[in-house]
Amino acid sequence: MASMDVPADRHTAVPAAAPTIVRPTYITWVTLAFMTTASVASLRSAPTMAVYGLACVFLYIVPAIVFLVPQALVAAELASGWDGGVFRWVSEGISSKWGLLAVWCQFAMTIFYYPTLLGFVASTLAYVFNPDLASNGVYTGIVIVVVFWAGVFISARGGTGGIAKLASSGLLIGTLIPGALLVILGVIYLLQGNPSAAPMDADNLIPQWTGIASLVLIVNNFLSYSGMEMNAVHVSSLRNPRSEFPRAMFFAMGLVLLIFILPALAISWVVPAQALSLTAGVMQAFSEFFSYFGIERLVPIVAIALVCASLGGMLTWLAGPSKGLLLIARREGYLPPFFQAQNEHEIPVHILVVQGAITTFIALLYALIPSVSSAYWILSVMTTQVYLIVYLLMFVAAVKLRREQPDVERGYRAPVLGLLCVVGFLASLAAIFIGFVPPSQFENGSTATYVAVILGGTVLIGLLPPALFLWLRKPTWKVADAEAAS
Amino acid sequence: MSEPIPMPEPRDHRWIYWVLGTILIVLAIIGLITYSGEKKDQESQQKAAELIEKFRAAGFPVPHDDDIIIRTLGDDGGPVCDDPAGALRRALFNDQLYNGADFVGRRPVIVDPRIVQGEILILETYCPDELEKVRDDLEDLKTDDTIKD
Repeated sequence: MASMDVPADRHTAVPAAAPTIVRPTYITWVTLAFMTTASVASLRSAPTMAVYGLACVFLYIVPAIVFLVPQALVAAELASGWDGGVFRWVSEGISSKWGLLAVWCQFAMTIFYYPTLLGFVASTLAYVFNPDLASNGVYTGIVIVVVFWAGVFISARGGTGGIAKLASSGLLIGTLIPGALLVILGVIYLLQGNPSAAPMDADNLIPQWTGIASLVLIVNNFLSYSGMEMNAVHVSSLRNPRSEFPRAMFFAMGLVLLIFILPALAISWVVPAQALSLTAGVMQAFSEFFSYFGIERLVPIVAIALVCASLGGMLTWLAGPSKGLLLIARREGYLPPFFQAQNEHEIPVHILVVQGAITTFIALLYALIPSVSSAYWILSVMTTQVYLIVYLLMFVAAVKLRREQPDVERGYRAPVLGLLCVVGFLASLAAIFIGFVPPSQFENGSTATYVAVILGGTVLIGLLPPALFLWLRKPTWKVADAEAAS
Repeated sequence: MSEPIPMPEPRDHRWIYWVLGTILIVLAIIGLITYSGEKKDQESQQKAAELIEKFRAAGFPVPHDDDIIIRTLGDDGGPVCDDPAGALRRALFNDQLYNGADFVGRRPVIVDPRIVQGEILILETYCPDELEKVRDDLEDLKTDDTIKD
């Protein structure tokens, strides 16, 4: 049993285990803040949001108030009282079965998420060699497979400390430095007396209101902050989790907001929205931005930076949810023993490898089968629906834990926790409902069909597998008890 | 209850940092050598002027400096005109019609029609043959006025 399962000075329902110490590596709260930021923010969406001009501030701040703040403060309180991340919080607050659902939803959605992330990595990396490669399926397939398995290998070998270093470096090289460059160049552009391409007067702070489309835009942006709680699974790697995790969350919140808002604004100053071609992807916007300053030679460097940021984020997503799944699998015996294996760095290697095999298969379909890549956006809707279930459960668990376990020492107590949970819960629920509104890509189909497909996919990905685990599980799968007894 | 015993970080994965750092440096050198952007010649200037005129006629804001268009789209549209009807380009295109999330929260939204019209004008100017392959798809996209005038 890993030392992380039974932390010092914690009120816990988990049975004490034999103290087998497996080389714990501490990380600092700044590193954890960087990991959290790397899991959530990069420059990838800056061109997408730049088209909204000054309104992008509104489109990030309002979701921050109703979703980021509740999520971050609630996660800070929970992580400062209970280790293990979302599975532990939901298990303690509701029940271990709901804990399984929460951690499964957090884990399962990543399987379908990686192909799009890696497809983005492949198209961005193409700018280093030849931008036309982005439309080549074989190239995309090779990049996806090589990069993903390199990520799995690094996750398995690096341990929490190694992943933390690489994710932090990815954030610094891939987001903070190029983001600062964008902002500085944008300010220089304005200081030169040039007019902003997007109007910057106060009237443009509020986005255009056109009913459902505006609601879809605003509410879907709640999801920009998805994942702030994910790295709480590493809370035991902090020397003083109770005070350091909340500090990490506050720092990460500030960084995420800056990364989302400032680079998008800078691009909107220089490049008009209509000139941002969609078919050529994100790099086209950076190319146009740097062309103004005559430094388009930096485009491949920015491409490499974006790839670094994406891969740093991917490492945190490889390490976080799989670890949560391992913890609950070992504690409750919800997965067969094969999946409960971990290496000397406490990494669930078998879970990662099986996840990798499934992801590789799906990613190759994405790269090589035209109908799959064209329609893959539907899966991103389903997976975000699945992830929102995690937040519903987390907010319910937080309220119940405050009521039923008020004496558990928390390093941080969120102010007005009940209100935060209600706001966060309603925001998550609103995002689930909005997920059933067909987006631009759904051209001429029936809305009822769309709703049925999204609902079916959500059940299939998020609800069915944990139900099957519970139905099929055997008493012998409970490794924690066996280890404690030995 | 076991107190974790802090031990030095394992050194056996330091080589990972070196390998990754080397790969990054090699990629950066390759990129700096091979990437030059699009050429600024008479044809690219003419195409850019044509596109900017179309933007003006449509009532769209235009770039402050024509070089933004010239250096990015050249005389052939660059990557914009590279198989826009292809499945992976279509996937990239779809990936741009998303919310402001960067990682797991990415989800499609309903975009403003002017974004799509801008795309059509770029393709019409630089590669009209390619436009015909995607025109129906672009025009069929569900849009609404989400950007202020």
